[in-house]
Amino acid sequence: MVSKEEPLGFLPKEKLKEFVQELLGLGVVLAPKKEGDITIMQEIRTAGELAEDFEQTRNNLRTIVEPQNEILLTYQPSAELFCEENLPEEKQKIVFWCRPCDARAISYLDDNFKDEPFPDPYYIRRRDRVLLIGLGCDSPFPYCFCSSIGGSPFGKDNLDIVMTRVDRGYILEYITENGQEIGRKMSDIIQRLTDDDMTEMRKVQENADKMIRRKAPDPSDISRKLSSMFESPIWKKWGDKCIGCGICTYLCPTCWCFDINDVESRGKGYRIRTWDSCQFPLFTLHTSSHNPRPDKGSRVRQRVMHKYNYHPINYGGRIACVGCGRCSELCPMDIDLISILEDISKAGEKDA
Amino acid sequence: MIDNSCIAGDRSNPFLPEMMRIVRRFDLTSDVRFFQVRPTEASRALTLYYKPGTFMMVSNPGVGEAPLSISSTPSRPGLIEFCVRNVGHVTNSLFRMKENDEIGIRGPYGNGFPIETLKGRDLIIVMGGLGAAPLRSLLLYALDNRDDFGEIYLLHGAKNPHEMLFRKEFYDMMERDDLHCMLSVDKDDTGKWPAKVGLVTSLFKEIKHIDPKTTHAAICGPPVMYRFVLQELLKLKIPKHQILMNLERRMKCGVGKCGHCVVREVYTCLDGPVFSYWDVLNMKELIY
Repeated sequence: MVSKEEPLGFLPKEKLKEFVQELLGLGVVLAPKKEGDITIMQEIRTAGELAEDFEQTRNNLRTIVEPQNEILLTYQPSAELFCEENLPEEKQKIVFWCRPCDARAISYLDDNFKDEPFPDPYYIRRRDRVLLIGLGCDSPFPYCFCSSIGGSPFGKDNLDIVMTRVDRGYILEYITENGQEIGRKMSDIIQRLTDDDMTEMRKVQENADKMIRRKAPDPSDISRKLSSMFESPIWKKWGDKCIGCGICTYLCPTCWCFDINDVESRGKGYRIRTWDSCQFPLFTLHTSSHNPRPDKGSRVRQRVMHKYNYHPINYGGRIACVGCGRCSELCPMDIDLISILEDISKAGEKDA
Repeated sequence: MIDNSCIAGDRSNPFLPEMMRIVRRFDLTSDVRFFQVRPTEASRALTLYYKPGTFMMVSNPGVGEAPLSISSTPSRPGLIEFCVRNVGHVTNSLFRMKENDEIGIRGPYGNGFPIETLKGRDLIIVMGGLGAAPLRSLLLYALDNRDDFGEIYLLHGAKNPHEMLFRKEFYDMMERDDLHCMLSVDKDDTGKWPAKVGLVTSLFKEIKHIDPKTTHAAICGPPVMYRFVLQELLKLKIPKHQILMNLERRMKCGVGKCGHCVVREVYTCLDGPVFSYWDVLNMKELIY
């Protein structure tokens, strides 16, 4: 049963700060904040810290549901029983102005961390207490290609509210009951929408779609072709270019691999989970010195195959890429994911 | 405050180890040590069940965790056994531990051998070097449930007599008349080796009493061994889906989350570590 309340609301430009200030009273707010030349999605304590005009945030939402470093267990090195769980506090977190692609990427993290037979309690505790307020991309970035991979600059996946920027403010679409609840709490700030606002919203959204310049080849076709391309020469070609820095995996919103290590500090011990990357040779190195993925080509293959072939096989055809373009934009060697996908598309044709 | 849930058997957090006490340890070779452990919580000893071919994440607080194959058999409950080679920093720290020291254990994890399917079948168990660790579990399980199986062949290869695991135990098995126990060393530098000198593959010509259609093979050993042993098993006409291998990968979580052990779309820790020859042929990265 759809709620009788308005599914839409209007936030005038001059009330934005007030809106954020209200959010700060409801929980921990994470929002885009300038840090030198780049924008980072991070905790803000005052509404003034919000970057109103911002580039794509350098980090994605993985930092919020699975932090880069996390204490899993603590122990007393001398005590007889050593383990104590360190499950995260269940504080309400509100992510303000994340991009729809980053929000969509959380589905793929859910696939992994919520999966049976061993759902991850650390992840689930955080995930269940995150509310996502997205800002649609009215002017997509040069490397974006979300629309050719099943996403959209105004996609709604995982979002509780999606906002569209129009001339005199922001239009709020409430997607979930939690989103609607925010609207109710802010009823003295949020106004009714006019027909003109509606028309403008539609125009902004249509325009955004047209502004996406980059197109990836048909992803389901790539996915299918990859099944027979394990030994293709393209992996060596791209592997030779790669320096194995792992930045593509650290910035990827759908990457989730991690490492677990023990450290001791000031008489206390910690078992820590840290992000790890399949682009590092150590990732698969056995203690016997045998390495099943011994060269960069095989590691580049792992990254592309995992997103476009293995994940779809395991999770109902869903491709674990949202087209945010970070891996292409920030690769120091200019390894462009779309170029790799085009190679796959061409190589597949030759084989057939 | 110390949380006791980890020893009370609360399994809702898969990252939380339960405590085990080292009961016994002794050296099998110059760098492999045998550990026998039991749950610190006595009642847990009765509920802890595992299948041959599964593994556990063994941890030493402050050093880290390592995946170790279980060498003991569930048919002898109460104690769990591991063979540990002193190679990494976790195994190195285990070598410094003594009887009655406590270690953390998570698991058992992995698919293990399909023991229900193996019932009524002939078995060829081929082990090389440290491959004896996981396959000893299957071997002892089959011997403890001897009526459930047909002919059982044990083919064991080691570099030399000093490097052979479970020397005494396997020598004694040569006396059994319900098992074809065939041992070999690549080189005998002691002059006292009582069995064959040669590669493990040279033992295959002595396999006579099997019907390949109802025979299952289980292999575990160093990477170099597989290719040659697989050729021998194919010569015996054993169907590919009945050739099973206990394979390992670098692992961190053991519960299908961390991504280290993935081979194609398969998680070695959940869907393995036991794979059939068909799996190996279809998943290039698995051993070749």
